Amino acid sequence: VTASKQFDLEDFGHHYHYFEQFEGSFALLSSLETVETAIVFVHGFGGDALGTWDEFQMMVDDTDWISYFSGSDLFFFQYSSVWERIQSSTDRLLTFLDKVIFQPDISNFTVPIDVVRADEPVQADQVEAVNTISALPSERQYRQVFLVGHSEGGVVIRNGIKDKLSGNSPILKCQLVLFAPAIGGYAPAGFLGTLANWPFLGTILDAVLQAAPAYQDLQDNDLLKEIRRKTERKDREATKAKDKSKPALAAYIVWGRKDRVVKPKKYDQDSEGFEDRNHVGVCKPTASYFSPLTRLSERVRPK
Amino acid sequence: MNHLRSLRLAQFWNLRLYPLLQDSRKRDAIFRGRFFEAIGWLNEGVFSGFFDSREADIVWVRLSGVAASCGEPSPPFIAEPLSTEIRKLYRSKEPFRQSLQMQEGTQKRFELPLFPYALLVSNRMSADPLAGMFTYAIHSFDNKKWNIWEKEIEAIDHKTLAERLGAPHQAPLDGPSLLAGYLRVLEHMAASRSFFRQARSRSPRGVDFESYCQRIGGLTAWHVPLQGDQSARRFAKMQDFSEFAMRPLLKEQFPEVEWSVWQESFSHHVAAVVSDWEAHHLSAQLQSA
Repeated sequence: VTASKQFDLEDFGHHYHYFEQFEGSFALLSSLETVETAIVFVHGFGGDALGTWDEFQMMVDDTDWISYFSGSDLFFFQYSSVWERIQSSTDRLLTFLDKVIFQPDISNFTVPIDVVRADEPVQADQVEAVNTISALPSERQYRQVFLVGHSEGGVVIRNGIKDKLSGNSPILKCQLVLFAPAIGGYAPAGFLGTLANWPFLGTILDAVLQAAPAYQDLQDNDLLKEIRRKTERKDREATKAKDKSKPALAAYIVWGRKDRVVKPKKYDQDSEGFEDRNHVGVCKPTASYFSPLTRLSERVRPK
Repeated sequence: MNHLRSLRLAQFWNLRLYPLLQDSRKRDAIFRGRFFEAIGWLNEGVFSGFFDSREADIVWVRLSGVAASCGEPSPPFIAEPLSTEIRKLYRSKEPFRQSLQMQEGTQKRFELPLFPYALLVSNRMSADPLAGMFTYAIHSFDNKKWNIWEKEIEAIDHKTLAERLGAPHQAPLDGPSLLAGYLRVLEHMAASRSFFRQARSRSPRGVDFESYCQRIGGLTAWHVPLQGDQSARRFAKMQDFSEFAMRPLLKEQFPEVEWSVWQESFSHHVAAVVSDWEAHHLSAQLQSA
């Protein structure tokens, strides 16, 4: 079924698509045929594809922001952030990027529609997909890809880049916007580290963290050090060779001034900004806090 | 037929209805709660123009067997105005084509763009096995069984709690899973609060926000048992159990911080999220009570 014109149903911009192969991940796909930008959101420790970015999904189609984001597809990647090792989560992200963004496998975007178009009664175990439609108005080939990470999501993204440093992977051409990335380690250990990123319990835990300033002694671990060392070295090599084809080596980072979970420790080549927010709030736009949208939109559509 | 509407309904089928058909041997109260909620979303989706009414009728035919076995909707799982709407569906063979559609205008312009996000929030809650387990237990256990579980919950180690949260699909129905489910329910309540606050902030003059809360908020009200005496008491007690589980962990990691810092913050935030849940999801019930 070709359907590009039929997407023009309502006067709001994106429609939701849920990925069967990547459970919990979903996308807000632009109704436009020509879309050159993909923005991939990678949540943090204990977070999820919805809660971490709370209200981003609603606000991108608001009148004030639609012009910045209408030409972008937004992907909210979900993974098992706490209970799988970073390397495993990285592998999941790289697979997602390959099959959905870099070389889209169309089966990830098609949905069987027999159930809504055929009148014959069907038993649960007889529902076979015959007719499918695509959630994409047209084939996509993204000219720019943004990887947006929060907390552990920043580590997963940077670890993915580290793993591909020696090749010519398209991930190296992505642009990075990281909110409070845990690239310097976490403050609360174990279970509390998980809760610290939950939208609700993280806010409650923040009261405890606030009362324990001495707890700011963060611990670097070997993996984090290795990611930093290799990425910085590659960036120095690229700078020396005047190679500008690997923007993913440097990140634009937004820290929360009231963050008690991660230490604001950037790589040499990164640029950074600060917001008057805590760890869970720094990446969540609200009616009175537009910064995550502003900072991202400035990069998606520079003035 | 509109491509986008077909896509939406097909995805709704995949995410919410098809799993119910697969589960159709279990016709307990929780199954019925899930089924009626899903039908409520279908109904609201057609009403607001998000789903196609003819396709919804096709889906309705497919669900007729399950609908018949679930019987008439009844409290506490389904309250007004949803139960009236579902009874109307039961009386017709093509209920959605014959149903009223929302008129073009301010209310529709307000509701339609919000619908997919409201549905997303509900999908997340519906797919959360720990939250589902908690809802099941708090509604369904008799006092004898509940008291046994309470003893177990009182003694939960935070490591076990962390394990349950880490592997929700493998979690057995036991005390630690219930407490983990309670924490997950709080997160879903917070997500819903955030949604309704955002919705309110964008509701222009002339929008009936109260009606919106009654219809859309009312669909998920059954997940959090705040109204029945017994279930509300159980829900309130979970707060104490959470504190028992957290206390050793916080003492271990933050020995210099007074316990009251956590306790006060926790109580305050839980009270706030409960109050907002009542306002956004239970206003219809409170009105008719």
